[in-house]
Amino acid sequence: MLDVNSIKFQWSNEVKFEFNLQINQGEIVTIEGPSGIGKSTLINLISGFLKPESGEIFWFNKRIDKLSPRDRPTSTIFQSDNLFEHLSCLQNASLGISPKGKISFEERVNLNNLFLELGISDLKDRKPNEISGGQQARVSLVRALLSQKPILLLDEPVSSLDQKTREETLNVLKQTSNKYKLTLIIVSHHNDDRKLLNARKIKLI
Amino acid sequence: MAKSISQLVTYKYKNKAIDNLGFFISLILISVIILSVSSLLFFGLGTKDNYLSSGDIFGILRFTLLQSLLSVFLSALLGIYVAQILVSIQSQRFKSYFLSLSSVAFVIPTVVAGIGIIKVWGGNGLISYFEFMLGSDQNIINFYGLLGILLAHIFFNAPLFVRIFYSCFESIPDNYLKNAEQLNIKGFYYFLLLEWPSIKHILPLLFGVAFLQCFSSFSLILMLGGGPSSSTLEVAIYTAVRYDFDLNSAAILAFIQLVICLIVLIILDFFQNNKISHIQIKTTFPHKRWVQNKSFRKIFSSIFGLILYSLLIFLPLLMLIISGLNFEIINILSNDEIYFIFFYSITISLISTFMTVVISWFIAEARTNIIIQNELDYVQFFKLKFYNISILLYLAVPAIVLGTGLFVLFKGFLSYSYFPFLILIFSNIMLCLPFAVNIIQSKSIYLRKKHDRLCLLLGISGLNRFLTVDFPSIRSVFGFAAGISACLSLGDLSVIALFGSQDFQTIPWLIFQYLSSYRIKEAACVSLLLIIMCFSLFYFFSRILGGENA
Repeated sequence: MLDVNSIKFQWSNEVKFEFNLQINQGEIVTIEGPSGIGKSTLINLISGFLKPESGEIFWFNKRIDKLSPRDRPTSTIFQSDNLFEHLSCLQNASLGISPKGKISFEERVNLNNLFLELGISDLKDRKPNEISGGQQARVSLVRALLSQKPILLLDEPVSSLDQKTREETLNVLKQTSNKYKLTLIIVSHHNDDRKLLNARKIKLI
Repeated sequence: MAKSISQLVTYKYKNKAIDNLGFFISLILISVIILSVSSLLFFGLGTKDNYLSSGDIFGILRFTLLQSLLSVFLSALLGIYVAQILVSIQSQRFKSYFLSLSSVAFVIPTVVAGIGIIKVWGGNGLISYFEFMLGSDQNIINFYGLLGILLAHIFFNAPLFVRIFYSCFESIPDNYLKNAEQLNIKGFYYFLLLEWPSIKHILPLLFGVAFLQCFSSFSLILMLGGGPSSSTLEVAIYTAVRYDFDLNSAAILAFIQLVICLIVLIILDFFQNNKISHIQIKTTFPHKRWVQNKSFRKIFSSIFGLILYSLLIFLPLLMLIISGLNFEIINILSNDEIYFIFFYSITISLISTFMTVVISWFIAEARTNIIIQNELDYVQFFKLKFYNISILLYLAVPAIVLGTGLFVLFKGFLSYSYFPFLILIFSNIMLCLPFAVNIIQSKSIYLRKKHDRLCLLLGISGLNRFLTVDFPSIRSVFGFAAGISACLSLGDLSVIALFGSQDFQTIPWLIFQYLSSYRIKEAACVSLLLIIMCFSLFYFFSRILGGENA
């Protein structure tokens, strides 16, 4: 279970946040709320890109808020710039296995299977700018799955996509999350997203 | 199909008069340079006397290439290292001060920088003082020669590399940095995956320009070379002409230099075509970026890098100020002749600056007329090449060759009393042209895209348009270009080294004369005065004439 306990953060004297939430393993939750309420701030605090002023974050009773982002059990898919543009989709995804991009035969088989499973096996050799936003999100998902981190944070990953692609991408996310028992925390502006994902809503006020 | 705004804009407005003037000026510039080079080659290769053997020439060429390549390589390494450190620092204020202070190297005259470097690394410099304190009775480091040349070239090139690399690294998307952190990408792979892609497009152009600067470097080699074994092509041409009047050797050396520089220029032009040169150099970024937590090793490495950079770039500047403030300044300021030399130098600088800005504006406008067209026909394509050549040709032609060639050509036609004056102004204009045209050009393109359609609709054109619409907006870049040109013109020691005499002196020539007779204190004082003059002129042009937005 992910336990965010009295995490406090302030951007300035006027903009202060405090978060308390619990999320079970394998659960899908959507973070909702008006602009500026701190949705992305919460994602950045959990992933370690922002340091809280006080409070604690636990993952199965292990304190993780002191760890660096690379050592936390989280991977993140952002709204944009998830894939390195000069690398192919396969090379981008293989970074999830090894930061040097070198992978064994078994790992390559696993990688190919994931591409196949997510319906993007014909995109392996393409560069990110040659594929659609939805396809980019799927490649990012393959990389996140390969990094074998149990919590996947998504900061408005589908907000720039059209309705049809958004629905397809969210369906893939839901199926993948269920299959791999991923805890999914997704920032969203749309009620439809929550319904599609069959997710619990956490509304920030 | 509907036309884009830029197509509509370029469809009608084109000032033919400026176009023709720009072309005519470029034609004159190219003709003068070609005439000067061919006259030297013609007269030089026609004479039989030759003091240099082919072995000597090969040795000079080898050293010229060695020092240029090493200078560029070491400057680039230091540039990447310091840019990485700057990117990892959160304080915007620190970075802004650091980059501003580094920018001093862009406008400081080479001869003045040479004094600062000597004051740190030279025989009686700071380093030898510490060596003496440690008990050594002679200099351990032999500064004059390759080491001195490299230090001087790093002083000028590294700040440019830092500024450009920093700007490139800052343009890496924030999410890339976060992804790299989560994927545990670090060290060399971090450079390869994130930083290298952001700089690789600019490298050929940057390396090319820096290589040309080092390859044709003159005054620094003259000051810090330390003898014939460390001579470059340009200095060897100077020595052959000034001391031996060996026009044959000068012509051969000039030909070699010309061929190599032209090859580099052609390569540079190829990269310019690919619009790689149009990279915006930003020094401040409004938002706070996420940076990795620093390990102890990284903090130590950052401190080491900043100290190293300060030793190489900031310490010579500091020593220049400290050493310039000595009692000799009273003697210098009470010497009437100095005032005359300053007046003469400033006059030359102001005339050069005015002509540079006017010429640059005409060429920039003529180039803009072509650049903003969406499709170029052959005539326009070659016209654009022609303008590019007129701006950059001087980078390939040694100043000494220009001076000697014109001297040989006009000997007997022009009086020697004002001939050097004219050549000096011409060489100053050619020296400043690449900077001034590019500074004005960037704004010119922007203004054409912004104003052309509106002016067409309102029927504003010609001088009326320039005075009421364009000038108020372009004034700031005119001021900035004038400021840079004034500093470069005031501090240049190239053609003057050939024609300088008791009757014809400029400040850089005077400094060089002091150095030649080991009067370092006087040289340091005059250098300090020259810096003050440069900054005053830069401030006057860029802030007062250029307006508040400069």
